[in-house]
Amino acid sequence: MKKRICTALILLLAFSLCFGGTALAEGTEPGLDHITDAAGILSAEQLSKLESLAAQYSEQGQVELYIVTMEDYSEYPGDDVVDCAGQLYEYFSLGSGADRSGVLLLLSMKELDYALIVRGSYGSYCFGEDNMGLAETAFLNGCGGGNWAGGMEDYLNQCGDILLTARANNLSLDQTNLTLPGQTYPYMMYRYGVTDGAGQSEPQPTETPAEPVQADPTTASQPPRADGRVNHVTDEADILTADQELRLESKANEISQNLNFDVYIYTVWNYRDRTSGDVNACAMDIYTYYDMGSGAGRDGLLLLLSMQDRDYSIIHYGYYGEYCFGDHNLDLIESAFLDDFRRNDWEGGFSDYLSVSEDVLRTAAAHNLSLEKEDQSFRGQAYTGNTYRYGVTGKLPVPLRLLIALGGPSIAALIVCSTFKAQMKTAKERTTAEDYVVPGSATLRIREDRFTHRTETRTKIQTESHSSGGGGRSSFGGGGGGGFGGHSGKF
Amino acid sequence: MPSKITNYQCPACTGPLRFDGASGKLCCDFCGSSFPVQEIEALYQDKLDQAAQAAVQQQAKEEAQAAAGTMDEWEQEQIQAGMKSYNCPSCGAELICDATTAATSCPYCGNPTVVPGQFHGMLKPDYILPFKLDKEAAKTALRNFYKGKRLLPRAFTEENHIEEIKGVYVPFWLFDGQGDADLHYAATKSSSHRSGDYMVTVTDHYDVRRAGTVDFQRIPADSSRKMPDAHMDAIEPYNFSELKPFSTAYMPGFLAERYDVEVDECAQRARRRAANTTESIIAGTVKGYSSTTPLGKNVLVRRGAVKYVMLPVWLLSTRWKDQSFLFAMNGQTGKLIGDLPVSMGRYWGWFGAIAGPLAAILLAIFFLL
Repeated sequence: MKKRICTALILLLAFSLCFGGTALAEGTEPGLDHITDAAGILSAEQLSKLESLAAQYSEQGQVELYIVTMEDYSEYPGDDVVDCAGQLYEYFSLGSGADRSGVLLLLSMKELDYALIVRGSYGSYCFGEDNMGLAETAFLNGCGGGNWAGGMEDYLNQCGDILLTARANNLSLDQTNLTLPGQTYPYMMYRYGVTDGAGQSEPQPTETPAEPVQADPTTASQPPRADGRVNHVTDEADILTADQELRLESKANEISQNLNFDVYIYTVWNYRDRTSGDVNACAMDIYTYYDMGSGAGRDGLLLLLSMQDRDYSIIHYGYYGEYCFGDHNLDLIESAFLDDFRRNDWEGGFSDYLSVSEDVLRTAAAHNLSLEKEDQSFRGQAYTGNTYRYGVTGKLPVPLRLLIALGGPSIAALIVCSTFKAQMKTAKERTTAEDYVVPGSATLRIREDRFTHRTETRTKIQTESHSSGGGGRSSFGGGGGGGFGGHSGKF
Repeated sequence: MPSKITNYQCPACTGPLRFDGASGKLCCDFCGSSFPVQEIEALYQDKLDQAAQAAVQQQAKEEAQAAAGTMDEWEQEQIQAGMKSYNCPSCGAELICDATTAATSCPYCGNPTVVPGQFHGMLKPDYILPFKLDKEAAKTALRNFYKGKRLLPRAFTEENHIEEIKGVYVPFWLFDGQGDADLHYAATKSSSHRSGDYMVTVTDHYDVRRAGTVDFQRIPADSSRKMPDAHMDAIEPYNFSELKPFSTAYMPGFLAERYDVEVDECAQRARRRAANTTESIIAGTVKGYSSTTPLGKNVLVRRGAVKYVMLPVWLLSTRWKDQSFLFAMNGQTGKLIGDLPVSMGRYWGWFGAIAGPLAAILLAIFFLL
């Protein structure tokens, strides 16, 4: 212990004398242990335990975790405690990997100030705003009453949970091959245990979320498309088997090739893990992020299912997408798949979605509309839902048209002639004699209203539930600008 | 020998008299004179008595001959067919008419004739309600009734047929009575309120009883088998405050029938009507309950006084494809009713006229546009 303190003091003295110092040359080992207790608030045993814990999580999570304590940060470089922590991180070249990912908790004991900073692309990715809040809360709650070791242990455990959950979500941990070095992963791409930013007090990354659907553990993800674009069917929530996914992908590809229009299916577990907006915002984000759609106008249709709360969003993009999939046709598509989804028939519902979408696109093509989206002839025009409706009169099946054309007038004529006929017979025998009652002669001699008994029935009021069927849906967009529009609701 | 029928003739010119509803007097179409009913009644009282007496004697004679088996074959056939024969006192022609005919007109000389014997003794009506609306009013009402009846065969609207409308005094029984109803119900009053996750419904149960009486006056029931009950019911009500003591002097110019349905038979219909209305009025006093379930009832009708009256009706009977269709109008109030035949030719003509153009338009929309 004594040796450790001496080392810490020497290093810190050197740091302070250099006024921010010069960062150690690249490639050298970091100059600090995971736990540096310059303020001497930990016992040797506590120090050892915490060091072991930090090292373990750092190795498993591939992000270095540091805790440094000092008497008074004002005696060191930095305008404030955060700046001081940053200077210290740079001076000792903390972190690991090419982007030097790491998290540093600095405690200044004089005024009980603390700073929690994260560095590196992957580190920033794992420790977004909310996860930093979780780590901070774990430390603050744990060190109540001066239990510094307890607070630090809780903090390390929380950080470990965050890092292990990141690994469980199949994120690349090979930080020497970061595809997007230097970029900041937007926090909406991954948030651990966050709902509206309030954070969870006890995240359980290893717990399998309760879900009403049976996920197939043997599902293999589809190979990416030859053109490098995202597949038409992406089943992140694992509700489809591999075979089902392949069949749906095949059908969607067929639509894309034959009708030059992309129809997508995307499933997620909880859309709130990706966006702070609603399910439509999540669908739009996905559409934009994966650069969905084809042609210059990026026309396409996307159906997104969010399984946790059984939300769905169906959105179109592009002028032609808006033209084909106005409110009326979206209603048709919804009515085709909602029944299947309510019975948890996922492949059936998606198959119906693709079938009806294909019908809509074929009928649009049959109206001699140009499907070559590079053709600017209809670019810029506002196609509203009223200009095309699937199943409009004139396009009904011939027998049905004949039935309406002949049956309707016949029924109308029958009603009119029956009215004429009813006028022809008016004589009816009378069964009452109100006209012959002597005025004021009605008298009551017995009038009894005797209470006998009382009964009471209690009926439980049925509350709204997801299993009772989809709730109302909402729509947005469709204003003719060729942007996003669509419907959302519950299934 | 006294004649069994009587003509009312104008004291001034001996022309035939007829009753005018508008003025309430007997008028002569030849010289234009008009006479109060009471005056003519007094003039013809002896003749009426003699005619009635002759009728009674004839009736007795026929009964004796029938009993002895010495009746003329032709007379026997007449009686079996429900017919009677009279001689017109004006021209001597023989009139053959129904046994119940009480007033008619001679088909040869056109004089209105009355058969006093039909109203003699027990057969004499208590009251008569004179015609208020004349033949022209009846014809106008009939033409208006036919208007707008798009399925009516053309024969009905021909003017010469409308001219055949006739005024008839129809015999009725008028019943007074009292209805007595004793009704028993199980009734409930319910209210609901929410208690937590439950909807609580509280129901109070009651045993309800009502008993009471309702008086009726002059419920009419027509007493002629020739007159359909539905038609006679349908032209009710009459204003009985205008009833007059019976006199045959109101009859010239109109047809009349005496009753051939006895009181007890007609009383059943009147009783049924009184019972239904009594039950309805007494049941109407059960109020303020969410539900009522009948448990039992006892409804009686006590018959009171019965009067025999003659009520005015304008009638037109039309034969169409072996079916008879009757138009009837209340001779006092003008309320009318009618069974009318449906011309199927016109029915399908209208059907085609409506369905055809509509179908053509829809076919054009579906297949050409």
